[in-house]
Amino acid sequence: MVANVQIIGLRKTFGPTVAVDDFSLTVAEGEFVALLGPSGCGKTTVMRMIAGITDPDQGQITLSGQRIDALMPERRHVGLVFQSYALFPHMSVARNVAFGLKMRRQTAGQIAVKVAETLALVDMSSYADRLPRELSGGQQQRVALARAIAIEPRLLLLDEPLSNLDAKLREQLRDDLKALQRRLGITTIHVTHDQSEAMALADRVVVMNAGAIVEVGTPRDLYQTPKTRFTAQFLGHTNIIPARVQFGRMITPWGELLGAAPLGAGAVQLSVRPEDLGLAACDQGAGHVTEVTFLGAEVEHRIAIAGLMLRSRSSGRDAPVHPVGTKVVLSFPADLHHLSQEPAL
Amino acid sequence: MTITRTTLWLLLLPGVGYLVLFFGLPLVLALLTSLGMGTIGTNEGFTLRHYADLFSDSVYRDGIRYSLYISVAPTLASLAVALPLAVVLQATFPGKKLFLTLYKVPLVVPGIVAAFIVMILFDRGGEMSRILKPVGLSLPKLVRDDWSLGVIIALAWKSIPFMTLIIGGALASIPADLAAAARSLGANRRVVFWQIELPMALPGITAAVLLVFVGSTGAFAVPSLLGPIYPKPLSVWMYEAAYQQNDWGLATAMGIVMSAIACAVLLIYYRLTHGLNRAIGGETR
Ligand SMILES: Nc1ncnc2c1ncn2[C@@H]1O[C@H](COP(=O)(O)OP(=O)(O)O)[C@@H](O)[C@H]1O
Ligand SMILES: [Mg+2]
Repeated sequence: MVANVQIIGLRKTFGPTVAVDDFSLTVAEGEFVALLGPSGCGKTTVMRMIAGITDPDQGQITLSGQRIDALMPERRHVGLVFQSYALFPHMSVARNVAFGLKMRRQTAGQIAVKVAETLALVDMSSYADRLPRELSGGQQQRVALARAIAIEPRLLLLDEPLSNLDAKLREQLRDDLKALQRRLGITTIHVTHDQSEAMALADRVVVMNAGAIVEVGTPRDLYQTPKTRFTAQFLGHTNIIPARVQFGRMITPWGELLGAAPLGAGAVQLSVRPEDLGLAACDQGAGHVTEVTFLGAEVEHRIAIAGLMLRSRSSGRDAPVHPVGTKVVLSFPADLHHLSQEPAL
Repeated sequence: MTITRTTLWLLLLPGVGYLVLFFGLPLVLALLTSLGMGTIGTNEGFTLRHYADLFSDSVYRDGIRYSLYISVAPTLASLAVALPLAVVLQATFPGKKLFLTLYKVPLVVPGIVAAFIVMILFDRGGEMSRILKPVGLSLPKLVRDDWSLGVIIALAWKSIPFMTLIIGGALASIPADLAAAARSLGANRRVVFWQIELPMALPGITAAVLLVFVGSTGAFAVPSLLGPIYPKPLSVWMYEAAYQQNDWGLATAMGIVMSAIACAVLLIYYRLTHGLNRAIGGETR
């Protein structure tokens, strides 16, 4: 009974604050979508409106053709995992997981079987009789997830489920979560402000800022060919270089980029990832190294050129290291990318 | 640093000493007096005479029963009003601020004033009957009536805001996400209240109930003014024994019995709420 989701024109204001504006999104059956954006951009508000905990001012939410935006939350059959986990503190792990099943008037036998099955799924079988306060953060997170999936929801909503965990555990639970979602095939919307989490988990990423959707795409497309400066900068680091296209030639602040295919017309903004920006020592070079940082797997150079500050990263054991002050020339990838939805500077 | 026995006692002294001095000592003195070995009144040597008097006299037995009645009934009446009120006050509604100020007024009104207010309003020929008469309604007897309704009203009137405050605080401290989680799992508002909010607020409710109960146990002014001629609560008999008959042995025996009953009720209540917690919240583990 996995559903597809269609959201049209969702809007919510709190007094003068526009928390969510004109939010439209379609999620296919079984798809894993991540809502990615900085803190306060309205991600939680979107989730709460889908779950029915917050009433939207405007907009429609449809699950597999059924309008749900006027339904009480208990009628929506949507699983929700909170950032705070929101486990019932006075109930054991097993009773937490059983809660939704009891509400569905299943028999004690059915409930016992389902609880055992779900706890096994999240590897928490041996903790069934513990109280939430007797569990670690990661264990509580698993129980919260188990409680949400036990009711076999049509849609699973995860609101920053991993953000209260330390980095190592976060990575492990992230992998577990992905495996579980693939296995169960539940349509999932996952909220996060962590771009690597969004990219690792999701089939598609929805980038949000200030209550509105900025861009939607696969992790790869958003990373490699972002249309906006916001997306380019939010998903990792990038160098933004203002340029002009004149007579089929690409002109940067320090001169023509030889061999670059012209993109767009007039003024454009190029976005070049640090790992795509090549670097070679050259006495006639227009730039010079201002800082070198060894990051373990990579070496990062900062280069000052024509009033811009650019980053270049190279990886591998033999990655060359240029001392501060070295004059350098830059090399660009053949398929230059520019931010097509960004107004010209 | 290792804490020696002596330093531990020294550290505990302020707290324990306070308890011993102002709570334990008077209790022991009262107990001794009630056993005929008192420092106030006559010292006649160990005797259980006062307790025998107390329990053999039907007047005092009725007094005990009545004392219990006018502490349990107002407590239940307060709970019946305060719990729904505390729930309603969690929501926002127009005029809430004003209401929040007004409903606390009884907190600062002394019991004896509350008793007079009830008397003026509800006694035969009081304001209420004057107002209701033209409409053809008449009030039941509320002052010095057989069921002590006036006493119950006055005591409850005073303790409702207190209970509401404590229970409201307990409810407000429950994270809103819990109710939201329960709703998304299929629980309606009613189920959320009974299975999530009530069990979680139970410690606060218990505290409020106990404090109100203990407060009403020793009520003196209100039952004296509004209660029936007979029976009288133990507090009133105590006063008469001590100050009119100068029988301190009997008075302190009543005090000890009253305290013992209060303790017994508290214990029973703890057992009940513990059971209640298991019943509605499931087993605690
Ligand atoms: N109940 C509320 N009352 C007032 N403002 C709110 C409320 N909930 C959210 N907001 C505001 O709406 C905006 C979006 O909040 P939220 O959806 O929680 O963001 P996110 O989850 O992306 O961090 C924020 O500016 C926040 O302050
Ligand atoms: Mg949030």
